[in-house]
Amino acid sequence: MLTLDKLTKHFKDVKAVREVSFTVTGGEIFGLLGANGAGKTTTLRMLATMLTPTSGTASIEGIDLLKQPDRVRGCVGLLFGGDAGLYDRLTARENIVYFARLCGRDEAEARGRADALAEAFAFTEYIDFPAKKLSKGTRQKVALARSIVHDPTVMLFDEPMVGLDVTSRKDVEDFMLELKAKGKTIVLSDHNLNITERLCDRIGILHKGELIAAGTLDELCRSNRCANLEEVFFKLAGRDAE
Amino acid sequence: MKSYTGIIFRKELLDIFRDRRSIIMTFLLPLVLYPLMFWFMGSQVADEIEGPSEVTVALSEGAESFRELLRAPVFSDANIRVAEPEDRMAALRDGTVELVIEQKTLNGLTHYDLIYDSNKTSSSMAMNHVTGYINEYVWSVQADKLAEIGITLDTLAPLSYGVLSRSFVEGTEESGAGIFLSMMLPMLMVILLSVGGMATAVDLFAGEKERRTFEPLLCTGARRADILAGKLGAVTTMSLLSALASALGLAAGYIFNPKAMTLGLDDAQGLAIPPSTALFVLLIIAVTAVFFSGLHILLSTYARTVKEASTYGSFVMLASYVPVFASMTKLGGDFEFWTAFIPIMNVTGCLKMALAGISNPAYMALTFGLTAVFVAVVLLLGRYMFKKENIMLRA
Repeated sequence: MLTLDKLTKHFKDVKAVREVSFTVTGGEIFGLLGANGAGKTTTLRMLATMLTPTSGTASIEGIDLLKQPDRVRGCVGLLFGGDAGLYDRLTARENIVYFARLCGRDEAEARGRADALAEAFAFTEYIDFPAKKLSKGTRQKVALARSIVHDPTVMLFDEPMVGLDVTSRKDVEDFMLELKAKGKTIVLSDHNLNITERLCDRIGILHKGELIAAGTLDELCRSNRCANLEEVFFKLAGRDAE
Repeated sequence: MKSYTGIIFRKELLDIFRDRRSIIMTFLLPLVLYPLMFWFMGSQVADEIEGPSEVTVALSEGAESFRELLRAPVFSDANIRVAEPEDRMAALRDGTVELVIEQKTLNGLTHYDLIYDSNKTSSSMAMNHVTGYINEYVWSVQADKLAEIGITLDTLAPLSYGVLSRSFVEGTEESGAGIFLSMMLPMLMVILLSVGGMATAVDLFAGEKERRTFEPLLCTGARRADILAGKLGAVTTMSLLSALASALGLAAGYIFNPKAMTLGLDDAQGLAIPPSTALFVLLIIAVTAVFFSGLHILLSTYARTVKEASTYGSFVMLASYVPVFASMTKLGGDFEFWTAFIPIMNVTGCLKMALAGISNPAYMALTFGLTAVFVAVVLLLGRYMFKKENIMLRA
């Protein structure tokens, strides 16, 4: 379970995230919607302990991220979209094993995890290829495998579908649903309203660092008297948001 | 808490050794390029010292008596050939002749003007060659004339002198190393220590930011101090390997052709470095490598992109040249104690002293201590920067 309690982040004069609070339970996908600069990535970076909140806090599985950031990192998996952020000169296996080792797994266990994940994501035949020789879709699969190699209970996805073709996007979607079925807590930040509508159990709309609405799709539509998420989004965040 | 420094260090080395450009820049260039560079420079200087094998001159109208002069016994081994180009000055400009000789009468004496091309080494060398023989001829004629009236040149000399060199280094008859080794090797070593790890530092910090591999790394169990230490180890290793590759290349070149590698000036007399001095020097080299690596890491961490980091790195490189070149002409015995307080220059001083066989523990201890303090400052700054999220996540 993930709980944000008035989580706030200021960069000098810029109030990037303002007192954001929400809870995501196990087996739930929470969608974070917002325009560029709304505070989505900053929120995820705070949850991954890369940034320290200016005020407020969050807890993951009851562990406070301000008090025990090292333990929080052990519970969180983070996946960025766009460029998969792999070490190009290392093979897919070496990339995964490296991160498994840095998450406390021994060499044998890490290699076992890499093999199992390669099989699960269907890239076993490419596992010993240097990352730079992999297709964009396979690279994203390797990045996915890397992000869950330590079996985190909370997964943070920051625009994971960017730049992927239809098949690869489907793979990532299926993977997220699989994680959900396994009871993992998932936060998905994405621009794509269709994906958010389809995958997320609840949706939060961030605007200028503030969580201006949160709820299920039905709740959001009903309370704002809109027919779909797009209408809700533009009604709340304004047309200038996009 | 478990340390991940070793895992990060091994991964970084694996990554670097798979990068052909890094291998070429760090190992192959120092191993091949520097010996080649000295080889060519040395060959040229050696040629200059030995003198030209043959000189071609053109005589202007009225300078035909020079031909007669060349028949004198003194010129028998001078290898001076007279050419007859249509346009003498054009031939001098084109390099088909090295000298044009004009003749006139000055104070009742036959006077030769030797015209050479000041922009050509070959012409300048030819001028020195010919004037040497002319001087010898003048002295021999003067000696003959004096002998005719019963006077020798020795009786005219007011005094005589000789030049003898002595080294005051214990246990060695001569200085430990030749001028080349004392001047060039420390300079090259310090420069390579300053640049050897630069490409690696840029790749491991600014490169990681640019490739977006830094963020996932920061989300692992590795503490930021582990990340800094692992990467610092990798950068320092590359810096040391680069300096070692260069030293090996120069040593191989020296074994193969000592004269060319010592710029034709002298041969090293054999190194006689006491073990304690050698140990000090190795420690100083190691701590200097850590210092430069740390400095490159600081700048690369601060930079947003590889390009920005490379620009900052170039400043470090150029800044390190100042104390290095300021002490280039100094030999091991020239370093006064106060120079031990000048960073980089003191490292060069230690290396030059060691190569000269000079043992100066106080100077070396101060250099080591001071460099170690700089390392500590750089590491503390590194730790501070690694904690600053506005630096770590600059993009």
